[in-house]
Amino acid sequence: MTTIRPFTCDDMFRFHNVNLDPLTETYGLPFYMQYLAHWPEYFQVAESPSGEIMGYIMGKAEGHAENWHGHVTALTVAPDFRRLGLAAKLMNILEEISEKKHCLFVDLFVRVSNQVAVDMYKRLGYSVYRRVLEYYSGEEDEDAFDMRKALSRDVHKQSVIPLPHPVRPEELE
Amino acid sequence: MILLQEVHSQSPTDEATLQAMVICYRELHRLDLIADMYAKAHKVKPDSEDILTALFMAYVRLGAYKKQQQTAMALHRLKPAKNPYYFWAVMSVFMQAISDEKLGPTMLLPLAERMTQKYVDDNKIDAEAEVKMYLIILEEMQKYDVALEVISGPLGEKLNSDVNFLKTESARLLSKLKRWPEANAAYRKLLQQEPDQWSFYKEYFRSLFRLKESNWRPEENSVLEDPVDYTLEKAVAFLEILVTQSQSAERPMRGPYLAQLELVHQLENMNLPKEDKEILGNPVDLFVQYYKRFGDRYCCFTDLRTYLTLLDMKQKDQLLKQLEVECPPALDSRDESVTSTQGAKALQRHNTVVQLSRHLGQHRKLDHEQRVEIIQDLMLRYRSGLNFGKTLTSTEFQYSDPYICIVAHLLYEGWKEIGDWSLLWQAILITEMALSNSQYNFQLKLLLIRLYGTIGAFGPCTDLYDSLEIKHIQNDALGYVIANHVGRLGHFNSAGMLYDNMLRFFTQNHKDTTEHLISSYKYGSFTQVREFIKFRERLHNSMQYASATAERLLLDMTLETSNHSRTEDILTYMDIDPEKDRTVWPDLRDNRDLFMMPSWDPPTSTSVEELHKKSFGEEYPLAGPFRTRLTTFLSLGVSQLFLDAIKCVLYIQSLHDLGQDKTDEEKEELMKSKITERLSDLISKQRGPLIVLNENKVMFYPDRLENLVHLTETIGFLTLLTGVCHQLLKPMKMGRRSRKKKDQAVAKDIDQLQADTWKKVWKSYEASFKNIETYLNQKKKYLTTFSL
Repeated sequence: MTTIRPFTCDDMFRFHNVNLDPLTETYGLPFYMQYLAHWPEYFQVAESPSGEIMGYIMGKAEGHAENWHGHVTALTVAPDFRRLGLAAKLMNILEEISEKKHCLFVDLFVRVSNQVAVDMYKRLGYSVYRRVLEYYSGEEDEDAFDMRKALSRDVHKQSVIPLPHPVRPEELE
Repeated sequence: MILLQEVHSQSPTDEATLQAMVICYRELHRLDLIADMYAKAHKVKPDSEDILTALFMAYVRLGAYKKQQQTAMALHRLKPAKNPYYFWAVMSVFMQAISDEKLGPTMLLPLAERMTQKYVDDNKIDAEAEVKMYLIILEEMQKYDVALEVISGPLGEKLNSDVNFLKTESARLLSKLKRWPEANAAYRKLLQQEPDQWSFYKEYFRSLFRLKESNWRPEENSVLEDPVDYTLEKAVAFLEILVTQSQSAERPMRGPYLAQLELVHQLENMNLPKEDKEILGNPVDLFVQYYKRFGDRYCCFTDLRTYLTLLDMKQKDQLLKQLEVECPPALDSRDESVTSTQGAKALQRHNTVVQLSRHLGQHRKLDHEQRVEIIQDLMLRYRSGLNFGKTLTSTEFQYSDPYICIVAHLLYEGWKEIGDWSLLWQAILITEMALSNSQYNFQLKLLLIRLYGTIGAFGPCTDLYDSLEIKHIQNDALGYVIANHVGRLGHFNSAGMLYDNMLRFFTQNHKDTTEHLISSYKYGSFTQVREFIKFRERLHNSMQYASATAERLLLDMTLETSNHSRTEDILTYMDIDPEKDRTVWPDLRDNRDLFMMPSWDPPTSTSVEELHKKSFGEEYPLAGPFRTRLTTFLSLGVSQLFLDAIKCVLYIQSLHDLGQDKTDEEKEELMKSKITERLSDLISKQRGPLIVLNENKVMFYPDRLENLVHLTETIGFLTLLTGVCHQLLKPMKMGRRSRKKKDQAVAKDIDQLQADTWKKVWKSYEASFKNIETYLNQKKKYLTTFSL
């Protein structure tokens, strides 16, 4: 059982069983605060009955005209709370908000090596729109899949037609 | 700075200059000058919207709410059509209201309300943020009825950013207004849509009990629009429906099942007849039902933990017996017909039983042999389980890792009980081994840091901590994990680096949070304004921040000083003045995240909240924080010695000030008490090896190391004090002692892991001594600078 509620600053003191996960990035305070100030409705946290943070989603709406879309910046669930359908539920909320804002699609970036996540997004209706070369920098740079799901406004699902060629990060608008 | 002053005095108004100066002033922490600069620019160009906006933001940085209000109103007069300016003024009044206990409720909140009301009446509200501002004010004034009207009316239609906001908010307000029948109906309806939302159940039960207490009944012949559950029977039936629905859902939800347990839990604490309390039957059945459905999930244990208190001794036995029946046999990982998913699920089911039975006290009753037997069984299951996890990616945890955590706890308990250090050593080896199979499991790393800390080896903790990639806010929330050990075990250089990293985070935070306050006004996220201010204060008042600051000063005072004049320089630079100390001690906040390490201990010793309190009283089970250094400092007897030394210095100071002939008999005695001899006595008591290896039995003596560090630091501080005396009364004689010991223990090359682990511990001890030695050598030199 879960309480889904808006993320608050105080949650940053308690979300470490989520953030110590190796694929979850802990950002500087400005990053979280920017989202809280600008897109508070897109930043939701799941809390267990005993008060532990189970996971959270962080996103925004951006782009112009036919590129107006919801974006998933971070989605993460603590190891102890996996296999409960929590990620799907959080994604669902983000999609609903994006629908309300009349977005055309939702997109997200994921490491090409993160097979578990890629499969999950596929199950949720996302498909690879394009590959972004060396999107993640690190000891070894890694490519990202830019995955998309069309929302109801994009009736003909124009936004998700895959690009034939990979792009470089600087080509992203 | 001089250049800045010159430009500043000319009241510049061009954007480029102003922005450049903002950057300079921000770096110089002179936010007041930014405001002053824009105030001057505004005088020169009173019609500039940009300058006035910047002036408003400058006051936001300073938290000058009254001036914010005035500036926002000036903006409003300049651009009356722009609503946001008007609402900046409203928010500024609101901030004044909540920071003024007297005028807030009587004058300022009503003012903010009237200002908003005016816009409502004039039909001038156009943004969601403005409606939210209104709701914030009404909430603070507890005018829930007005708020409910607002969201049910045309203004409510503007609230469309959040999913389900109107429905949840009106249910919440009905609860606040104690309109229980409506609140109950509203939450009941919400639960039908979201049967997993815990916060809805809480309010649903609350309204149910209020209705039950007051014997509420619907008016005769009235038709309820939405059903209201005002009796236990109705609530039980409703939960039953949710459970049934969940069973047919694609993925069963935990909510309805846990809600049944929650209901029993709440009934338990009420003054009710037995048949009411037992309306859901034997709670054991609810536990078993839950286990059957969710026993293979990692959170099954934490879900059930709170409710285990419902069971009496007999029921606990009953539950354990039933779990034994329900628990599937371990699947053979060599059997190829068993998929890894099946294997992992069966494994987790068993693991849940182990966790539950540990929580029910089963591990308390063990004698040493029984404990060893359980450990061996768990280790067998661990190894076999590794086969199911062969296809896991490296960032995923091994399915069988939870066994290791339990084994480590069992070994740790064994060590505490019979004092056999080999058990603790085994805990380290087993956890290291598990980590090599599951290299990203942070639970194993946290355990290891704790275990290494216990045997006095700080060295490996640095690597483990670094591999957790602790950064940003984790410095505050998780810093305690190693800050407790680093100084205690004499790794002075690492301590310096650790505190520097932490302090950098804390000083940066003020700047960062302030800039985002500005964004909140820009985007009209008024809820966040208040939250950001609170957050900034919480970080600023962090206990970790205060202690890192103090520890860093103490380190500098002793590590960076090689003679008295250097000490004087450093102290002047530090500018420590208790009267000017801005730390507000009662406001200090404990920001530690203590929920990271799971514990399955029986309730008497586990609740993290309790540990939290106890951590100040030096209680420390494995999943809790490590004790502070205070206990060992006090029990060592070094505190009295230090106090006496200070008394001596003060006495010498008074002789110096008053003239040397006015002696005080008592103080003269103290002066003769031979502090150095007392010190060397204390040191000789610590003489002895840190590790002794005897017929495969290992003994650690980490207390010796910790005490030695205390003594080393005491020598450091005494040296500084001696310098003061020397300055006051030349010439004067004082002795000095040094310590040191080498210990012997040879690691047997049992296997590579064991050897590697030994090496790490060994190197860590070496580093401790190297640090201590450098420290003492420096103080030795310090003492030779006194010309006798």
